[in-house]
Amino acid sequence: MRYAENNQISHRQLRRQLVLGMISPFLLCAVGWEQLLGACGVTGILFAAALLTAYALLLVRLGPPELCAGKFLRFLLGLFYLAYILFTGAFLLSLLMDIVPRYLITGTNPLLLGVLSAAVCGLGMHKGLQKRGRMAEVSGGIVLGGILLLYLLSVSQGQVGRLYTTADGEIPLAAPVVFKAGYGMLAAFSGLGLLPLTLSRVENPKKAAKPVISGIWILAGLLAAGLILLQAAFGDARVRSEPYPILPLMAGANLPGDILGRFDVIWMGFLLYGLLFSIGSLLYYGTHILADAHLEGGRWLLAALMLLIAWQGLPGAGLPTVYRHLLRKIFFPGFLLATALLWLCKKRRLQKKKGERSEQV
Amino acid sequence: MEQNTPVSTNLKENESYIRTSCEKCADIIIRPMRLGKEKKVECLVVYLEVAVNNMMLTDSVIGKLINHFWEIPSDQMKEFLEYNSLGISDVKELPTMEEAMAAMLAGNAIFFMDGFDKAVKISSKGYPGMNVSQAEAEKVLRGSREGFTDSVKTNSALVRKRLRDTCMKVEELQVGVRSHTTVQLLYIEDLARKDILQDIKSRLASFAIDGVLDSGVIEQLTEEVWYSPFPQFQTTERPDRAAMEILNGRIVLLCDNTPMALLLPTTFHSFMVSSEDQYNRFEMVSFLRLLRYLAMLAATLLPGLYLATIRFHTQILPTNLILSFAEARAGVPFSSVVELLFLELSFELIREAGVRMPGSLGNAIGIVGGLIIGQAAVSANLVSPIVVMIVALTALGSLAIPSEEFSSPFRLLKYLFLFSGGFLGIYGIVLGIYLVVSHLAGLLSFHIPYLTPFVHKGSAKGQGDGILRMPIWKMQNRPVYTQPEEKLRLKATEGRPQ
Repeated sequence: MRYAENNQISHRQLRRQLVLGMISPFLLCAVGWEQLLGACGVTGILFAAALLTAYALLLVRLGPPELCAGKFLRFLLGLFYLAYILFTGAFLLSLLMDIVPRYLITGTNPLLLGVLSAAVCGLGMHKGLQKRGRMAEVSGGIVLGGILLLYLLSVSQGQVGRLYTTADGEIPLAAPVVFKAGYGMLAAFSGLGLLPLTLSRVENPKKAAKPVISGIWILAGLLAAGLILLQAAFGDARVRSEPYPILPLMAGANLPGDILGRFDVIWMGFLLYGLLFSIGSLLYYGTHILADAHLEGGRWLLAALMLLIAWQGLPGAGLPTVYRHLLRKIFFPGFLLATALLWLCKKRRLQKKKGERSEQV
Repeated sequence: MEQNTPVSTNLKENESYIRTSCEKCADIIIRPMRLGKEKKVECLVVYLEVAVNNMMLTDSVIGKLINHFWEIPSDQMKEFLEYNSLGISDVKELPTMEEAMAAMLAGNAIFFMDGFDKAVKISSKGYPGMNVSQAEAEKVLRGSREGFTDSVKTNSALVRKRLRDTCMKVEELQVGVRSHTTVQLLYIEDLARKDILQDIKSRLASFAIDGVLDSGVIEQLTEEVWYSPFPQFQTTERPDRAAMEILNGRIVLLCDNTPMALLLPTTFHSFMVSSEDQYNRFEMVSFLRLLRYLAMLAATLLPGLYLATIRFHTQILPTNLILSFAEARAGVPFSSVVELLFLELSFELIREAGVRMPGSLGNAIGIVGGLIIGQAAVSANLVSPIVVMIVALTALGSLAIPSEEFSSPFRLLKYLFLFSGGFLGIYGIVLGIYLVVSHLAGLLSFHIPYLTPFVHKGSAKGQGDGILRMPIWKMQNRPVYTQPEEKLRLKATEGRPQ
């Protein structure tokens, strides 16, 4: 390890960042979404993972945006990325402000929790991707291990019969439902669109597709396994009715030997850590984009705005519902469009260079 | 700006310079004498009264030199001094008065002769100091008992005794505008990384301070993150540990008047490794390391987890345990946070008092404080017995961390977790852990991540020195802070028994 290498993150750190940054929101929210249920949900997840593999390959080949986009396009993309970061951060903060008082410390002021969480996640957000890489590397394995242990201990709660039936009857494997579930999953993975921002700080960036793809499949595997476990443990009706179905699953999982009464608090600790990491990562990306526009001082404003949106919510159906719509209708298509635009710009640049070279010859 | 006054051929000028500089310095002896067969040549010996005794002056090199000067003609003296003095190992010619004064203040005798434009430094025993004694803070069951002393020269000799290789370099520097403290950097030239060496040198040159009385001052002036509670330099008072770390490619910084060496770069894990880990078998070492990490967690998290559990998450505990906790707390007038805080602070008080007290009295304070006050507090219903147990386990945890300096941040962090767990339950603990991990992940020691070897790029294969230690024949590679070309530490031969 030399000085210069400290400015880059390893492939392992990239993979663990991806997994640790996404695992908690996925397990808390995506599993419970109506579209991700039963065989359709699992097929949808696998279908989406296959598409995301191709998307990741494309993003890695594209490289950092500063290499292909002009100033104006980068400005527009920066605004779009910032909007995504702002709303996702606000959604995750609101999730935290909902879960903690409801399941862990009843009666606590959610705003106080939000302020504390935003402050803790915001500390050192300007310190670079290397720090986040090291955080993920050192704690990602522990969180992942904790979740796998939870799954293992939950197996005994399940009944195979519940896997095939819903409240309305058998679960059909219908293409439209699978596509809907798959699209939901793709939308949840919108954050992958931020990958080009990290590529300039990854060692051997041209080979970065491998850790990203393995990260996607780890997440997809965990989600699919979670879905199967939930369905087997609670059946379709309860999974639909629970706001966060993974939490009751935790309540039922105990270590053998009756050492402690319940372990759900400890599992929840793992999930909350993952959630804090996700918010911290978003704040890092926000800071990175702001720094690119020489507005580094605005990073605390970004955190404050996240908190404000999380606290006040959005007009209409409320932040979680609006955010879900935003993900499906604006952010995911937006990221695809951004990728397409960057691709075109890169191609044009390459052609221009080629032309210049042939002229010189 | 530093002046350079050349040593004059006129002894009177030199004497006047010395007398002006050393005015009101009763401990400095200026002894004029006339030497040569005819007793015509004016000479001067300047030395510190305690550092150079009379015995030394009659019995040592200078004594013999002076005796010889009484026997040879005056005109041959200069020639003799010029050509013969340098043949004696511990004699050095100094061209300027400043160098001569600095050498005198370092505990040497300085000889001046009229008509000779150089001062002659004659090494002596130096300042009084403690002899090599047993390492007190880093006791081991296996391994050398020697500890560093206050003298930097003795300390480097103790390391040299273990590494008899000229590749081990000892670079000497002076820090402190007034104290002129000697600092030595010890490293093996082909193992230590040049960039780290250069970095420490430039950091040592980056400040000007009046005095450096202990290496702790250097540590604070050269550390990267001033607000971090985690030590960014490791210290050891054991020469064998210092030698071992030099072999690992680290740099050892010795400071005069400090019976400790600073090791750099430093990582989190290096503090959890004891000196004897290398000498003992891998199974036991691995077990003990695991135990130390658990102790570290207990020292930091136990009070916070206890409060989080009994205040917010009682469902974690089996019913019988909750009932016994409630029973134990019956009659205690304070809230659980105040109760725990009171006992933790009492323990810190006992610890501090015990450390300051001389030897056996310190032990007595510990017993009186721990047993009697604890028992009395429980009897008086000030605290519950379970809290006494929690505090005792926390204290044991912090004492099980091999390095005292490294246990200090956990002693402080314990209060952070105590409050966060006490007021925000498990979420507070998670917030605290996130904060600490985030801080540690951002910390670098001479550009080496503090969390090495838990975060490593490339392969850490063959190092085998993480939480679990591999059998010694599998620890073939040196740690990351070694020059990459010199990675190999141990080469197994074919004849090794299986």
